[in-house]
Amino acid sequence: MTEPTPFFHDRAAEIVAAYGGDTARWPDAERATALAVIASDTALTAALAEARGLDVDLTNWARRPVPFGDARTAAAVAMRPARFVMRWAAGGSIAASLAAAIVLLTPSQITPSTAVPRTAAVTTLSDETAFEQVFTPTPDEEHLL
Amino acid sequence: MLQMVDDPAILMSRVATGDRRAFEALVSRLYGPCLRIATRVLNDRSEAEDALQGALTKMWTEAARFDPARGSVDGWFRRILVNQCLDRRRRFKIVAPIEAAATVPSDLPDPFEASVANARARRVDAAMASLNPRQRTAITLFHGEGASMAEIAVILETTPKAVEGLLARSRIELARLLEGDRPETRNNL
Repeated sequence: MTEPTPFFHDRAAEIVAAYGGDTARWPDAERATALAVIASDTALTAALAEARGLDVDLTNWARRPVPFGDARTAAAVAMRPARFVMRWAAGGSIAASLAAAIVLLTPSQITPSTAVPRTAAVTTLSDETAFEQVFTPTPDEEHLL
Repeated sequence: MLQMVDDPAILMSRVATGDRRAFEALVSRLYGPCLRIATRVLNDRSEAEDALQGALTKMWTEAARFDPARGSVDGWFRRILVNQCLDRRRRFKIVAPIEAAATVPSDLPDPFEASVANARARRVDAAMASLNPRQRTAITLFHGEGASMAEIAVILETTPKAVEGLLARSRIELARLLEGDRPETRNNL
């Protein structure tokens, strides 16, 4: 059991604020001390009662059933071969190749007047990450991915 | 023989080898509870379905990454799901409508009590809508799933102490929003 000190009053208030009124869910090492401090403090006792009321609201909110969804379809969609992704990724590769070709074939006289600092390290991106950097789908296109 | 297997870790090991029936069995187990989590976090059913679909696709394509030594299938999948939910909020900055609480079912036999309960649920919904998704995630997992601070910390990729603070701030904010709004009874009408 943690020693009850004047400072533990604040800790007891923190515990009530964070964990709510169900003492079984409080930290084991602090539960007994917190309960002792709360029992001797009317403001903390009131805070504990309020916390229990809020617990009911939050539990009802969090556990309220949602309308049943279609798990079978969701599983089937998840396992669908990523044809769209591959197609778009291929498109992304082509676009990246074209961009690289344009850069490489640009006449050398078009150079910046000041030196460009070379700060970026070479990184290896996965296809998925590279694709996300090239294309940002709109919400309407999201289902294609 | 698949119907005899109920251990998610075994199902997951089969999913990693491309076993479609094992995946379907896992999805049927996870879908309902996880749709509820996503709906609470995002405060929007349609967004929740999309986030869950993204998480399921990730589970199928990245099944080999699951390591049973590091935790349960449920915990691993909840972490993927919450990340999907939080990523969606970051990308689209959606201001989600408050769920249609008028349709909240009630099993209370008394119409007056049912009406009061629905009114209270609507107010709680409105208060919840003012929190950010991380706060709703912490409340959903703590109060809805019975998760510990440590478990929530893993899912949110933070520390248990930070989750304590997140929950405390959320509850204080909700208490302020719901202040003076305790449920009515027949006696105080």
